[in-house]
Amino acid sequence: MKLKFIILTIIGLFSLSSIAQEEISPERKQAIDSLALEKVKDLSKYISIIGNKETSFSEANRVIERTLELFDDNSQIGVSSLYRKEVKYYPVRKYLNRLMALNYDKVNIKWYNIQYISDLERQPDGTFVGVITIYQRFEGMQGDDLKYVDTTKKDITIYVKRKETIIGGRTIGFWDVILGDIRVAETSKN
Amino acid sequence: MKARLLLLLFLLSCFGILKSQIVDDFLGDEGLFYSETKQINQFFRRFNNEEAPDGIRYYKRDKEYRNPATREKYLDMLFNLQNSALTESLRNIFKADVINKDSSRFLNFHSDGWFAEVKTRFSYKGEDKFVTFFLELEQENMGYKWVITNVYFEPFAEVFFEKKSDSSKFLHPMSHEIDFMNLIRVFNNQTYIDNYTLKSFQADFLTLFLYEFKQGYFEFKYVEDLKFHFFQIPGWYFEIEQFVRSDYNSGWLISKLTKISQEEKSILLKYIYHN
Amino acid sequence: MKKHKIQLKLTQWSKLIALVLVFTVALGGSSCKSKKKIAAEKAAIELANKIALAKASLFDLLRDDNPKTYEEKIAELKRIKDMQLRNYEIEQLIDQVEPMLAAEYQELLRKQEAERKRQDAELIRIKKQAELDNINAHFISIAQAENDLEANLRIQQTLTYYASPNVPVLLIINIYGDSQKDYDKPTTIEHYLNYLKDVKTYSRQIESIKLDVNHKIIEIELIKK
Repeated sequence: MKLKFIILTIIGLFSLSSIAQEEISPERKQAIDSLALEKVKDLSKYISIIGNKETSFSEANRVIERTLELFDDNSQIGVSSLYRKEVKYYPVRKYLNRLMALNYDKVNIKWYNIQYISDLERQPDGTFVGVITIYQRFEGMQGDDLKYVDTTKKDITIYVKRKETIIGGRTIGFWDVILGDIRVAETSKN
Repeated sequence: MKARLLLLLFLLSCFGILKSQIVDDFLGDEGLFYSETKQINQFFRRFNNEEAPDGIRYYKRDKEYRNPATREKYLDMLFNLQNSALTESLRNIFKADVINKDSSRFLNFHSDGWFAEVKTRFSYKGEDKFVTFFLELEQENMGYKWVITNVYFEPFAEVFFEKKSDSSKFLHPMSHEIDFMNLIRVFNNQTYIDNYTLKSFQADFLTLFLYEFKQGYFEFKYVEDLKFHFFQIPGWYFEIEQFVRSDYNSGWLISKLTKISQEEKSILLKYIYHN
Repeated sequence: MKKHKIQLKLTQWSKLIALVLVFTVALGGSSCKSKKKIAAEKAAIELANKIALAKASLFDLLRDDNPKTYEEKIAELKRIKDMQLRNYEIEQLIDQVEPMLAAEYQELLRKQEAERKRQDAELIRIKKQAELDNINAHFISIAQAENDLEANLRIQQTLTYYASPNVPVLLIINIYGDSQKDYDKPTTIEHYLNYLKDVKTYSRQIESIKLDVNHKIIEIELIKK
């Protein structure tokens, strides 16, 4: 009986809280939007580090692990180019390993000052899902020369789950924002 | 031309507000990206005037939420202006219907009356083939999901559409008295099998697909194309597609627009589903 | 300033009255008398004089707006008491002045204590702020490190301020109306410091910290600036 009570309490505390079942208020939505956008920006910074030749192998691998922590397991990156409709699918780890192998002296990822954040829609399992669209220019440098450049539109899936945990005897309600599949479509070759 | 000018003016007026927000390490020429209808979500919001020019959504409490005055400007942006079939007069009639003072029409993400058509590439028995799926949103628990409602696959169609009619091919009405032993003639020829079914029989391609998929004949490759069909505005049908081009008139735009009656709607649906 | 002037004037007035009194007594008794009598009279005059001055002084001490400090007042009272004038009125006045000064002393003590407490609190606040600034500076220094080597070194240095590398870091994303806080997924200090090293920016401030008995941080809460 007592054990059952403890188990129930633990489940109650660590599973989705009741807040997750309610609508998200505009204030909360805005805070979640910026949190999600921050994760997207972190991803972009990690990509710059991984693609940079100056980054040591061990550092790059450490950053790859950090990058993977941003993602939901089994997330895929679907890439298409301007001239080919074919979408190539890469599991995130493979995509990052490929990036590391490209070995540019320097990778610049520049952002267009525009992003579009969709509404958050609820899935049948209660998790909220949204898509953030960003535009980036990828520049791979060899010395001072621009070796590769493209501008892509990236539609990034974000999953938002309300969770609770206990820290120092206190219940902390937090938003677990994780990235999902990313559709990368080239928009121009410069 | 006038529409383009209006669009340009509208965009310029938007950028006045936006330029001041530019932060370091950002690139300049994002004007095209601003005007592009970047997501279907944005198509809905622009259509309904539920977001600001910078893409930040309005909530019901906001004054601008669904404001008909600015809504017209948004609607102007949502047509593929390179399609000459979408004439200005047609667009105007549509807009007038949508922004009608007495009964404004809005698109609703969660309602019926719209669905996706996804053209995908599969390897079918070792050969590259297209499979077109039709998907709709379905509610489950408190959330939603896209579900496959229909599929179109040309090799299936080839088998079923060319119904080889032959008036001599039937099971005579006394067949039951001979324990249907004459079925031997039905099944000894693959070509005429359709003649022995109901006149109204229609093959269900989705069932066929699922069966063959489970047999391992299909291997998914990628999504090639995508469009959406809308029947949410009474009396109208429109289709939206993505236009990737360096133009202010880009992104998810209305590619087809037509006035339709209720009967025409069912004909159109049959046409879309290739039935 | 103006009040002070009025007080001065009042003091001068009381002195003037005392002087007039002395002169009246002196003039009144300056007829032809024997030397002894004269001496006695002189003594009497002096005593009356002293009493008058003492009274004036005691009245002065009883005034609420007396500008003298507590110490000056005590000295003045002591001076009068030391004269041992044995005058009923004087005794009465002293009985009034003494509890008043005792109360004033208590008030003085109370004020001094309050001031001491305020100074202590301010000192603690400054110290605490300096401590927070210092902890915050660690984050900035990691984010701004020139290279990995420097960043790693700073991470190691910073970790010595924490009870363990697993100390929880709570990242507030927003605070709503009734101070309800919403957080990002909690992380550990080691994880967070490496994060700063990677993203190379830090734009938060410390909302709260918790320390253990060894003065090591056991929990830290950060908020966006």
